[in-house]
Parts: sequence; C-alpha cells; structure tokens
Amino acid sequence: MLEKHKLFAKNERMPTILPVASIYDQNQKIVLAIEMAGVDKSTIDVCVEGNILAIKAIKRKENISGEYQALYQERQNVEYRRSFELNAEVDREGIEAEYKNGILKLSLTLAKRAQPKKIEIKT
Amino acid sequence: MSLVPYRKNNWLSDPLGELENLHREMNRLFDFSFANNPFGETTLLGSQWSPTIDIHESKDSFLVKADLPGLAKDEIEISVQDNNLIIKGEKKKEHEVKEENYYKTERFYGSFYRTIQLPALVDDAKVEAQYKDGVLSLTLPKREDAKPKQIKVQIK
Repeated sequence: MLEKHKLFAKNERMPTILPVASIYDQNQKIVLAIEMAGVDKSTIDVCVEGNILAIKAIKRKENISGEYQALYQERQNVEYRRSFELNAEVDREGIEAEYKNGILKLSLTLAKRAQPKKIEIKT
Repeated sequence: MSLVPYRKNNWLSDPLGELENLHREMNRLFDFSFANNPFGETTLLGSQWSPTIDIHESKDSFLVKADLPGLAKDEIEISVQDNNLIIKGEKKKEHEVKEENYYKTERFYGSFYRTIQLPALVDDAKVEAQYKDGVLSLTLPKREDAKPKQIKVQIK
C-alpha cells in the first residue's frame, strides 16, 4: 500500500486494469508482449521475486493545452498491473524489457539445463 | 503459535472502490455497444475491436487521441471527409512468428475501424497526425467558415 502512494499524487485514485498479453516463441526466447498504450515510461516497473514476474505501469493522459475543451473522453488514467508465474527453467538474470509503440516486450531466455553431475563412489 | 500479518487494505476507507473496479472491468467486457456515443458511428462489420478515443475542441481545431497499441505507422489509415474522421487499419501478428509458436494470445489481431463525427467541418488538407507510445494524436483544423464568429447584435 505504501509503495502505491509514492507513485500517486495526493488523493489520486485510479482504476487498476489487467493489460492484455500475447506470449510466443521467437529466436529461442519466450516473448511476452503486453499492451499498454500511452504509459509514462518512468512508471514502468518490472520485477522478479521468486517465481513471480510482476509488471506495473501508470498511464497518465498528457496535459492538453488550455485552449482545448474536452468534448468526449473514453480514455482514462489507469494503473496496469499483471503478474506471471515463471517456471524454474527461466533465467532470472537474462530478462530484457523494451517499451515501444505502446507494447512492453519482455524477452525471457531459458537457462541451459545443468548437466547431470556424476558422483564418484568411494570404495 | 504463528503470527498472521494484519492486512490493512482500503476496505474500511473505500468500501465501494472495489465494486467500482469490478463494475468498470465488466463494462469493458461488454464494450461493443456505442449506442451511448454521440460522436461515433462505428460499424462492427468485419471488425471486433475499436480504439478508445478522446475528443477535444478549441476555437480553431479539434484534437483527437486514440489508443492504438502495437502498430506500425503504415498499418494505420486516417481519412477525413467533411466532418467525418475515419481511423482504420489492420493489426498484424508478429511477422516472424508462426502460428504454432504462440502459447497464448489475448490481444486482438485483425482489422479495426472507427468513424468519428465531429461537430464542425474540418480542413482535410491541414490535418496532422502523430503516433507515439501507442497513442495516435490528430490535430484537425476547422474550416474557416466553420469557426465561431462573433456577431454583434444591436439592441434597439
């Protein structure tokens, strides 16, 4: 709760929305493409804790100059939040993130399977 | 005896907030109806997705913003006819990725279409468009004869 207040201005309340995502294989990486148009880049927060990959971002509409009056508003200021559960094979250190054209793309690489370790038997 | 953390959430201060959130999310699910939209004439023929828009008006022009995440500039088609603004295009899947490589897709792919009827005629030669971070911004200057004019009324 407290960390939520750091990002928000005083008394600012905005709805939390689940952004839609596509997950696919590309070049031996697993790519998550998450749709978040118009997000303030400085508020994008991607972190991995244990098995959970958590994504947060805030979309704030740009300030329109005073000469304009709003006629019709469908878009809203929202907080995007989504978590994914990773399986053990994902390399936690190798996650890359890119935000372009309103899509947050996360590339996950799979850690190479450790070779089975042969244990010598003492006689 | 194990201690259970006391979770203080905003239930006490904001009991209706969660209901509001649920209400909003449910509305989003059923968001295909534009009957309440005085500016829109959307056709659902062949498209199941429409961008969400904001319309602003100043003395000289209109400013329209539309959320169109994940597109390239050449995938968006904008045209203006009298006072109608038409935004359409096609959202294509990643071109290097084949169908079988998709694990899951919630995103919509395919053609989209939205017509916006503006309250005044616009000068189609002077329309400017920008696409940044998934948001399309359009500035549509009003036609000279459509700008508000002040007419002095003499009171006899």
